[in-house]
Amino acid sequence: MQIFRRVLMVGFAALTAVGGGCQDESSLVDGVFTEAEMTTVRTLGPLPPPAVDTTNRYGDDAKVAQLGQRLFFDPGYSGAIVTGSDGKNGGLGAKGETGKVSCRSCHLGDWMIDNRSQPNGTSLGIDWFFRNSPSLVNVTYYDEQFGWVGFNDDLWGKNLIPAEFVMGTDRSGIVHYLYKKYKAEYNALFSPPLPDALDPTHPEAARFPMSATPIGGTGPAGLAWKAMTAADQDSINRAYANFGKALAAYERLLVSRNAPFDRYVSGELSAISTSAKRGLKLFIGKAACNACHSEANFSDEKFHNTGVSQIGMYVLKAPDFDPGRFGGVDVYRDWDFKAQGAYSDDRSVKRDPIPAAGQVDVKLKGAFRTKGLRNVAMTAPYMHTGHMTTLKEVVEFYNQGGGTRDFAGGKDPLMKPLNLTATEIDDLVAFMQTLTGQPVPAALLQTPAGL
Amino acid sequence: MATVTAHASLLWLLFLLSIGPGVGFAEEPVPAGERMVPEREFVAQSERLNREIQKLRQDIDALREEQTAQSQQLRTLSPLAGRITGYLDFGFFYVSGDGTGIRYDAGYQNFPEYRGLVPDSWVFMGDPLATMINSRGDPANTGDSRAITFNPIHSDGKPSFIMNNVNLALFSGITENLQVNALIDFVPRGRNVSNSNAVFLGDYIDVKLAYAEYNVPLQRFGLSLTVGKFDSVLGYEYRVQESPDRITVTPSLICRYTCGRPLGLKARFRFLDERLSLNLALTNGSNFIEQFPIYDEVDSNYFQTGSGRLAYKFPVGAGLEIGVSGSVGVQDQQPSKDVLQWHVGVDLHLDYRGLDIQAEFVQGRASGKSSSDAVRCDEAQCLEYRGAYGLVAYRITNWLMPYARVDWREALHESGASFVYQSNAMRVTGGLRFEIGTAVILKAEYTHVRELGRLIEFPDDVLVSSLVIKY
Ligand code: HEC
Ligand code: HEC
Repeated sequence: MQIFRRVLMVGFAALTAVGGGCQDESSLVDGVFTEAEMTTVRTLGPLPPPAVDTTNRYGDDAKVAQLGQRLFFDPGYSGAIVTGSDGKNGGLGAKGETGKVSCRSCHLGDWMIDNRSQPNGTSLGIDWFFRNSPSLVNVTYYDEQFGWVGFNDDLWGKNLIPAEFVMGTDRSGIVHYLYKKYKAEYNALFSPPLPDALDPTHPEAARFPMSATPIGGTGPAGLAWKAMTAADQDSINRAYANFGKALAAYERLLVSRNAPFDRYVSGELSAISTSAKRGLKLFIGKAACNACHSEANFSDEKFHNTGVSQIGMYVLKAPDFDPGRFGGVDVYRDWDFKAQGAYSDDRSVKRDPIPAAGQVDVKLKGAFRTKGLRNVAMTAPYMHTGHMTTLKEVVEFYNQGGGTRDFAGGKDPLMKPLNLTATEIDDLVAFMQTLTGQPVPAALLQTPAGL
Repeated sequence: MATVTAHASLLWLLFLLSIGPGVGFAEEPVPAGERMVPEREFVAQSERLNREIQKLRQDIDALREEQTAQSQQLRTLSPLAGRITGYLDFGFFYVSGDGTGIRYDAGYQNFPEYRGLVPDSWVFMGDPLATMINSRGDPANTGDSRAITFNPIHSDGKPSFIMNNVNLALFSGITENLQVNALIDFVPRGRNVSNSNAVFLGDYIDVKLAYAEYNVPLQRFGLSLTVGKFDSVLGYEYRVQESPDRITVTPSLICRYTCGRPLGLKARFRFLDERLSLNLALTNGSNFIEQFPIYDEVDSNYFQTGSGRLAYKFPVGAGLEIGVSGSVGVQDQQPSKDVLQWHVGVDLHLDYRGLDIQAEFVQGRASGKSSSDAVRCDEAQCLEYRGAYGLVAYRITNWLMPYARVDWREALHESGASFVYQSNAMRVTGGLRFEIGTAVILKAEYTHVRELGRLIEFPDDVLVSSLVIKY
């Protein structure tokens, strides 16, 4: 019996040993990714140079970009401040002051974000806005949806929104300002030149009221616009479009490439940490982040409701909360500066169809554009509410399948609990930290001389 | 215990005494040089020794009495004595690959039809439970699985020893016809105690059975009624799923559908000298196992599940039992009462001169519920399955039993954009079972898993052994 037992024990141990000899999975790239996974990874990087924007014929004109940079940093055209500084809120001046708010005021620092407004979730310009300022670095990598809810389907057209919505001026005001301060530069770059009747001393100055816009409804600016001739309206619109195109030419230079992640995909295996590699595998695997954050800009440019709760002092509150894309469509349905509009330089481009009024899919309630994730580690706070301050908080949010309350509409079917462990959450954060590219050239971030 | 030690030392003492003097038990050592002991002294010594033996005998009697009294006392103090049994199951396993039975369909290479509906990394090929490594059916690793996420072993494809479970079976006969039973697993598993944010998953307790059974005293046929958390009534395998009873180490691929332990009411009828039996149960949920994602302990909807099995035992060898079983009810884990699921199965068991044959076939469907044509099965999961196994074991000697099993399972499990499992696999298992005495069982088996159909083939073979000690 004793011997028999011993034989059994040896057999048990032998079986144990056999285990170690079994064949393992076939070759993994860098010991981490299968070939199929690598194919997916290659759709995310490296980030190529920006594609040409055919809707903006000045998009890659360096001189136009220089003018764009001036216009970006110039606060001169902004209207009267509604909510002034109280010493704590980061306000840009006293109530009623004009010429205080530039594009740069809300797109600050190396990564062009707002770290000035307090509380820091949303932005204070002329007045409080109800969403967070996104980074403008790499904004040109979006093809067709700009802003959190797709306020416009081309970049230059999107640049025209702030003036009429948050900077206390309108298109006629802008064009007058161009004439006053940038007439020579403008006329050298664009044709036709600005009409001389924009000069307030010109006998026909009344043709161009200081404030006029078609979105002014029955207010003074709206009535003034209606009183203008079609030809004069066209002159204003054309110059206004060029204002946007100049800003876009500048923004197209705000490019940050060659992130550690890009170098990794190009074959530099030590460019990112082991934790980041695991994070990347999770990003395209278990966590399926790339179901929305796809392609080299990490955005599918579609609208999804992730259930971000409306948290923050100035966000849109109950009962309707933030309608997201559902309301965003209305902004540019009749907008003159959309890609298929009169002032686009290429109306043949394909864009998401704009649904007719009253026909917007209710599924778009509370849906926001998938945010690109390039440089995301540098651009806190996060989400349209700006109420998440760390990437870890964001990943924990996704791990729970998104938010559960205080948002409009119903959540995207992809928002499901992810069962990530604490290490996996850290890995995803580590991965997103590898998306920080080279800084934008310093000259582009400096206030141009004379401003 | 103290009395036992006392006994032993007394016996030892007597033994030494019986060997005789001079073996080191003399009270006074004999002075050196005094070789001849005077007779008078010898007599005195022997009398003294006799007196001592006498006294020791009295001591033994006293201790004996004390011990009897104590053990009587003990018996009255613990009425459960002798009614607690159980076993300990220790094993070793190795699962090739990463220890999981699944791979995802990266880039939709095999299942392009899910593009745009489900993220490719949530389209799984294989079976998360195919790499079960013990009698409990715990998979070595669930990996990135989304339907089954409980992953306490998490082997990552590394070989490991494992303390599968410490089992406790409690039985109490309240009256002649009424009994209470419970079966509890203590499951030792690791947890990261240093991470205060983690969801703690360490050692846990699994109450597998907890029921009361009443044998109705009837003349014409047998009837027992059960309430509580009891064994399923479907198929055959559920009856032999505890590791001492199970021939193999691991469950079959269909055990997940028939080995569950639902809560509710059960009636068991026996007719024709126990040859014909009928089991009927009304339970909260299905007879799926707890690890399976469609399982309710407490009901989440308004309808209970009815299940039953009819079996006949033919007088072949120790019995050839053939059964048919089925169940129907509202799908567990979802609120709607109009999402039904059904299950049917046939089973066979033959015990003939040391030959043990088991075979089962099952099929079932939970049709689920979709909120729109675009997103399938998002409101209630959809599950469709078919599977079978055959097991042959032969008792060569009273301690050695080789066995072989073939099992197959094909299933489609979908849940909106959250997951798809395309399972189609065949497994072949070969193993040896040693019974060492009445209390110790040693089993070792190798399972080769082969993915079928449109699934890719990947390494997920399973090598397991298990040492079971009953008490
Ligand atoms: C009050 C602060 C503020 C000012 C001033 C401001 N922005 Fe913004 N910017 C924002 C906010 C907030 C958003 C997001 C708005 C939304 O989508 O709801 C945004 C979005 C954008 C976007 C879209 C980014 C993306 O991710 O698609 C562009 C482009 C942009 N701004 C350019 C400009 C330009 C050009 C100016 C000056 C003409 C300007 N902004 C002035 C706050 C500001
Ligand atoms: C269902 C589509 C979807 C999925 C899946 C998804 N995201 Fe997002 N993501 C979005 C949308 C939409 C936003 C903007 C949400 C908002 O502000 O309301 C966003 C925002 C973010 C932000 C904030 C960026 C910023 O600058 O504010 C981060 C970080 C992020 N996602 C990371 C992830 C990670 C990591 C995953 C995977 C765990 C993931 N996302 C999965 C759609 C998605």
